[in-house]
Amino acid sequence: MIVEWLLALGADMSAWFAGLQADWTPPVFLTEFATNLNSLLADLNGVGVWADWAYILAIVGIVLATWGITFAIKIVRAIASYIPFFGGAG
Amino acid sequence: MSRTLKVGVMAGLSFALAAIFIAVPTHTDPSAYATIIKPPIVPSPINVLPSTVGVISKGDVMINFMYQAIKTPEFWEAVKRQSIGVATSTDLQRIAVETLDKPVVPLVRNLAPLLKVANTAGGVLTAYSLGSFVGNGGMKLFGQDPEGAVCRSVGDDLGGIMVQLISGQMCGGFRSPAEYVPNLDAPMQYGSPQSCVTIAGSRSCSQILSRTTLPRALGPSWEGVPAYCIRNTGPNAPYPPVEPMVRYLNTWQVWYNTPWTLMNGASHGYYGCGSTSLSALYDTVGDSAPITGISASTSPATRVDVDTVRGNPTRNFRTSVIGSDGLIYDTRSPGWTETDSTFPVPDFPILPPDVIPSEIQVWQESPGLEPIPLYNEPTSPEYQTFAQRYPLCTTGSCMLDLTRNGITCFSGNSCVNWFDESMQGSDESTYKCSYGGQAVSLRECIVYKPMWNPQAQSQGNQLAKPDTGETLPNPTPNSGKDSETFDAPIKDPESSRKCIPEGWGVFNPVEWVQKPVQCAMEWAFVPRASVVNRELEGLTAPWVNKAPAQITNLVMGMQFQAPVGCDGIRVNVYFLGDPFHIMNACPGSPLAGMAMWSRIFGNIIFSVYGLVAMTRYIARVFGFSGLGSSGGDLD
Repeated sequence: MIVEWLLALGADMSAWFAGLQADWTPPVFLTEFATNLNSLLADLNGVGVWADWAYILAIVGIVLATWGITFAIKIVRAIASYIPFFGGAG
Repeated sequence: MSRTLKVGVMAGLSFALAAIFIAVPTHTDPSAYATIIKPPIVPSPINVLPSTVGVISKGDVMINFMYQAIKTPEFWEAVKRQSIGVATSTDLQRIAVETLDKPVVPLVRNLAPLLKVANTAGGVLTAYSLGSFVGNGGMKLFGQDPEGAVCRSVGDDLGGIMVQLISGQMCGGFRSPAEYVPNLDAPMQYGSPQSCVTIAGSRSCSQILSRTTLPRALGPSWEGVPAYCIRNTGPNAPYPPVEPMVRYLNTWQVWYNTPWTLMNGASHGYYGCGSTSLSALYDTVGDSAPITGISASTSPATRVDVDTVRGNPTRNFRTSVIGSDGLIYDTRSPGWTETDSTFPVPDFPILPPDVIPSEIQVWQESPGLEPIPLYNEPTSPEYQTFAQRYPLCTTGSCMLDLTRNGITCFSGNSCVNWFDESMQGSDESTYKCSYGGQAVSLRECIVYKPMWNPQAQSQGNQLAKPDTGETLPNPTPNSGKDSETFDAPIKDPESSRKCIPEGWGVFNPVEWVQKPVQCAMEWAFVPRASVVNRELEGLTAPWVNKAPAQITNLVMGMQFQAPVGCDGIRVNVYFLGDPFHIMNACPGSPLAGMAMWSRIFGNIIFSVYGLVAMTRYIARVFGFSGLGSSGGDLD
């Protein structure tokens, strides 16, 4: 019941917050941008043999993941430095 | 108020601790410990005929037996031989029969019609689901497992699926097949995604945006033919279908590979859909790349009203069972739609005690649409024989009973040495075994071999394997208090609970302290699935028309995928005429070799980039600069 109450509270808060915002219709330039991007990607579909796109995407993904992990380590280390008698910054 | 609360809590804790210290002895002899805290279990008959493995008992004990049987080396050998990972339900059933050496009482004669159904009616139901459905029907008709003990006790691993299959319980509901197009029999709706398909876990939908009629310029035969502007949200969207005939649209269309555009297969150009703005869904059908002689002004779109109800109607499974009395007994499943990922299991009607089902029909019903017959088969002769012989089994009051001189052993009659006495043949007429009120072989009662043995009772091991007579270990290990305390499963939050002990349990401190606490904690912290679903629906609905959801829809609608072709970049400029490609590097073209070197150099460059970037990121964590860095830009 407690978790259910928390869920209901979260849903109510979400609905309240959503109610503060007006309905929004994407402007034409935005929807056309998505369309044009899809069209562009379709036009570029024929360049698959010019690069190993899967390999490149994997490399980029690994680099981003590494950045994310090391950034998280730095954050944790920075927070830990404020712990008295432990982190050394206080 | 807080003081009263504190006093109450302290009093409760004191009582609990006192109960534990009074009831639990201080010595640590495991056997004595277990003997003292474990009350003797009152023997009770099981409602299963052991030789009929297809009929599984309710409760955990016989499920444990099932696992014991399934996990034998012979079973896994059979698994290896039969490549069970891709086996069909009939294969599983056959392997079960071979491995367990037990006959199965099939409810229906064969599964062939089920396989056929899987390929019709929109492929809504898979053969596996229907096979389980039949078992489920059998389960209910046999009156077994009304509380869903099987589903609460087994998982989706192979053994669990095996138990589900044999027991007939379909725990996950009908699953949406991997590939099928829903609502083939429903009128197409406009505006919101309706026709969806799931392939390899990726869900794609088609959305009709607008409608027009093809102009005469495409040819005299095309004039007035309806054309639809359709948006696909994924690469596997149902449109265009494999066959040229689009059955909803009463015309045929050929898609070009660019979304938003239709190409008439008989011409050389495309037929564009114009604006893709959601606000202009039904405004105009234009010509982003006009066919010769066609312009936007010649082909205005027809605005179409959105009809989400008719396009994706609520369905029901209606199960009609024709009884031996000639009457038809109907029941309907809860409503569902074909765009749901799972479907409810068809329910079975409750038949009067003396009525045996002779024919089973399953229909898919939808308001305003013709019912679709999914299944129509008579019950199998084996089932009819079984039901006629054991009529009590169809009402759930079918018990396997052991009697001594005509009096059941479950009413206090002394049957401690029944197995040894009967095996010695001293008096074969003393002990009788019956099932559903009918006499059966005494061997069927071998599962009761240790039932009245005091030592077995104290350990809770009161059942034996029906084939060997070997004592089955209690599924709840009685090795100590810890396992009894912490191995207790979480109860189904949807069900009513029994928190306060009674009977022998009143002497067990675990029953008085730990279990009520667990009960209260589960009541407080384990949410009901129906509530969670309702809250999640309430969580998403208010956001549908808000900016975050709209932007998410836009992003989700973008078809990001790595290029795979070789014909180069398509150039599509109006005044240059038909589209053409540059940088064509298909095999045999002059640029094919260059493309190969491009791949090699690209891989080298990105490999070096990845290596340098990763070493820099990692090195900077430890205060170093990494490969190729001067060390002056540490962050």
